[in-house]
Amino acid sequence: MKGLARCLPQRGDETVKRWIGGGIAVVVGIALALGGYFLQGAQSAPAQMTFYVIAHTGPGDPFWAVVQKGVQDAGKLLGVRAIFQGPPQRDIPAQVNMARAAINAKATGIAISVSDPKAICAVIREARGKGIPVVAINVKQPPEFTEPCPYEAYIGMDEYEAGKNVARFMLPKLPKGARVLIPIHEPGHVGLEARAKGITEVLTQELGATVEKLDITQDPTKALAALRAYFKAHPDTKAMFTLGPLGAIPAIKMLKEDKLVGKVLMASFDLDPQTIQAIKEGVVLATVDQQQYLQGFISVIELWLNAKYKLQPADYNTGRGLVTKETAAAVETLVKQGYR
Amino acid sequence: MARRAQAEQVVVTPRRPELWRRTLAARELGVLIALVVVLSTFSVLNRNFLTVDTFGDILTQAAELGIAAVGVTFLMIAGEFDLSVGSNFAVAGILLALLTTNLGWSPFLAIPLVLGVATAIGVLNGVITLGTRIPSFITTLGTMMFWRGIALAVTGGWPIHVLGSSRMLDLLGGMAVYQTVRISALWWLLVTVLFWFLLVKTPYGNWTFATGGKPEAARALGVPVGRVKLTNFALAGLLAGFAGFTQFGRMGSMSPVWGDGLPMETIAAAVIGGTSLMGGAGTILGTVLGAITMASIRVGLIMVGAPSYWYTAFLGAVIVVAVILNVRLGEMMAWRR
Amino acid sequence: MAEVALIEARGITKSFGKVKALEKVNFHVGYQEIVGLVGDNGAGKSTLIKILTGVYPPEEGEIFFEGRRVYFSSPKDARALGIETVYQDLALIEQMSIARNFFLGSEPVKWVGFLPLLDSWRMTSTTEEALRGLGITTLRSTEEEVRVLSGGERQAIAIGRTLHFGAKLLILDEPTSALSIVETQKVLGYIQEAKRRGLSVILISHNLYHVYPVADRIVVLDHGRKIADLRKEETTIDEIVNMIAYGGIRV
Repeated sequence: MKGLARCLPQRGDETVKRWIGGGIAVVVGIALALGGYFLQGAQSAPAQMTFYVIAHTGPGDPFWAVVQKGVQDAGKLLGVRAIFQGPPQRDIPAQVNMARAAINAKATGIAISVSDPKAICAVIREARGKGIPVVAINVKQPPEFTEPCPYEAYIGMDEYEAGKNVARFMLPKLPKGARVLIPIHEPGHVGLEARAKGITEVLTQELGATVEKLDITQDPTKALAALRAYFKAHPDTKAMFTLGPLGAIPAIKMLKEDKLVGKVLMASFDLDPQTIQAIKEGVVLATVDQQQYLQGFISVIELWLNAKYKLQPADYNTGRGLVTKETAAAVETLVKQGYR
Repeated sequence: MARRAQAEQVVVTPRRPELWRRTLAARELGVLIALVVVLSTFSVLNRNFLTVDTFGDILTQAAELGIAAVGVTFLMIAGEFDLSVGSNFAVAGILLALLTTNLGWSPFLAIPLVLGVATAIGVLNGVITLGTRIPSFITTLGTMMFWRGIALAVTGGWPIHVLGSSRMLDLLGGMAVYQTVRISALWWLLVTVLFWFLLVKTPYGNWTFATGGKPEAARALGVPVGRVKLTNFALAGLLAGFAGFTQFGRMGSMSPVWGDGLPMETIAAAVIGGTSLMGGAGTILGTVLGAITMASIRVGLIMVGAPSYWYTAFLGAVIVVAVILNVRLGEMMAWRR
Repeated sequence: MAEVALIEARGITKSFGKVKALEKVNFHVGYQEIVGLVGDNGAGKSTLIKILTGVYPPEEGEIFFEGRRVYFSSPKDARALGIETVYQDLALIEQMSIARNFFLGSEPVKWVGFLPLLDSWRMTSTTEEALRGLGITTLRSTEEEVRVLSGGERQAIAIGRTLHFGAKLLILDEPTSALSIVETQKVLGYIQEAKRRGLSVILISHNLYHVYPVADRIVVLDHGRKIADLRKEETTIDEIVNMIAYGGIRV
């Protein structure tokens, strides 16, 4: 019966055996090669200098796309590997994982945004412990945070001051006791919080205004819906301060579609083509220019100088001044090219 | 009649098939090959990849996914899905953070209570699915959004930070046990061993396979199919919550938006590891290897400087290849063909 | 009938709405007896079986098992008495091993503290023995998955399982309809072996050439009535075919 024939190894079986044997040999060979690497320890640093710039969001956010450009341009200029890493959406655990990978890759230097003080400072301590120099960019830990955070320099904007700045700019245009909305597209982002704090303080102290924060999420559709809902509930809102392009873009859309331009005054942070266009049109009155290109560019330069000549990195305040209708046209081209 | 056939028959004493046959028929072979390929590729591309440090990181990162994936695998073998694991993860972490930080509860009280809540979320999934006979994919899609909403509503979207050090957090996930290997990896090991044992060495495991393979047949033989499924829903919920603890421990803070990708990633780990989407077949060890493979790809891509978005593309490719490998190898190695 | 039958059904009547599925059917199976239950589609074979296995009760009539009057409120009651059915899909789970299938629902355990551990040695050896006893000689290992087995081998496991767990009356619903000729012969052999070991069998089949060689008696149903109940020696295949096709009563 078939059973008899099947029980003994057949030609078919032999072929299978040979193939499998060969496959196993290949796999074992690879494993041995790996073992060789493993035993060697591979403690040496990579041949070419490699710098990692690790943000808490990725190039999907137009803001960070500019930072990435700064990083890449610096790398090209210096002839070193400069790698920008960031998760698609704000994701602290992912950012931490990326930093660990960079540490394990024996980076020559790391620039990182202190998005979540506790987690990121811990990673910074680890990197410094392994002898990797670290600078902070874009956002640093708030003063209340007392644990050690040993980055060598901060390259970014003073958020709180910037918030106060733009609020002061808008002061003359708003009535006393006005209602003002601050849409936040990333709750928990200490930098955004600091901006909001600056705005709130100035407005409440000088105007007795009612300032409210609203979580609009990083998703533009949800943001638009959230804003509309708020304005329906509070039609007397006089002004709106968005904190970045992710907030500005849906807000501009809403103002135009609901014909609120001129009735609701708007200011924002950071530059992107749509915000610039809106400034030219008079929909947005001003935006704070963080010059985030510098955050990517300068951080790589400083880390390189430190690696090559042991020069000490220094703080660099990237964000001074506002862009308004007068200056918008000049800046616009650069924004389109991705430099501002 | 069958005279002639019978005369030619040879009596073969049943014996366990040869080791090489058994190894190759193992469900886990596909993912093992995938893992070896991934590791070798990345170590060639970056000499620092295959070090103890990196590997410790990979294990730690894989642990959070892996703990939840073990529960999801167990449930998938019984023929059901749980898409709410990510939200359960967040709710459990947030609840623990709230109780111990804001309300000052003792961990000895808070941890069992929150684990109970996580289990209850799983039980609720089971009750709704079994009671309404709506596919679990749909019901847990709903509970996923519900619990995510609860987590966001309770916290207002804000993460909860634990200032200063905390023994509880250290033990849950923060503490390093050996260089870069954190204690979360140890928890994962414990969970894996326990659940492997439960699946392979107990009657309950047999019932789980039967419930997923052919529930009517199982019922006809007296297996309490409903109770088995409900229990597996509960276990999946429990492990999802525990995974949330480990991330809370490692980060020192907990955000209500974390765990977003968990449902898809746990299913991916299970499928890469050889668990069948149809139910009735699966392996805990395979899922573990699957999670490690996924974490290795992520870390490897960063170390070679690839844009981080490549991760999802790679992962998709690995899933397809691994499933094909699993199915083809399984067919080839069917012992009687 | 001088001796007590294993199972006896008297005057069974069952209707579904206006349709009379069974009308005053008397049916019995003796100890260690193989009865072939035949008839065309819609004759009432499956209804009769469902009543005998407790799926639903008869409108009229009584059932006696081992001489005692019995009432079935669910299939569980029938199974508890030792009446087992093997349906066409065989209640076997393809991705699980033979041994695991064999003991599904009644797994042997070793207790380690309060943990029940599957006694796999006992599972594999008992399964091997049981199957060998039935006449299966070509298995390589009971750890093979059921899906690599042929239809006849699967039947063997299903039958062997019921035997091992103490069935007294085995009902086989179209066991050979999906099998090759060779496999059919094997399965018929298993059925005869089961009888030798004390089981009684009700064999339902469309194929008289399968039923006739192994059955001791043949019962023919037609449109809900019993039209023939003959010992094998008293009739021929052709005669039975005629009865099924054209009706006619010979009791």
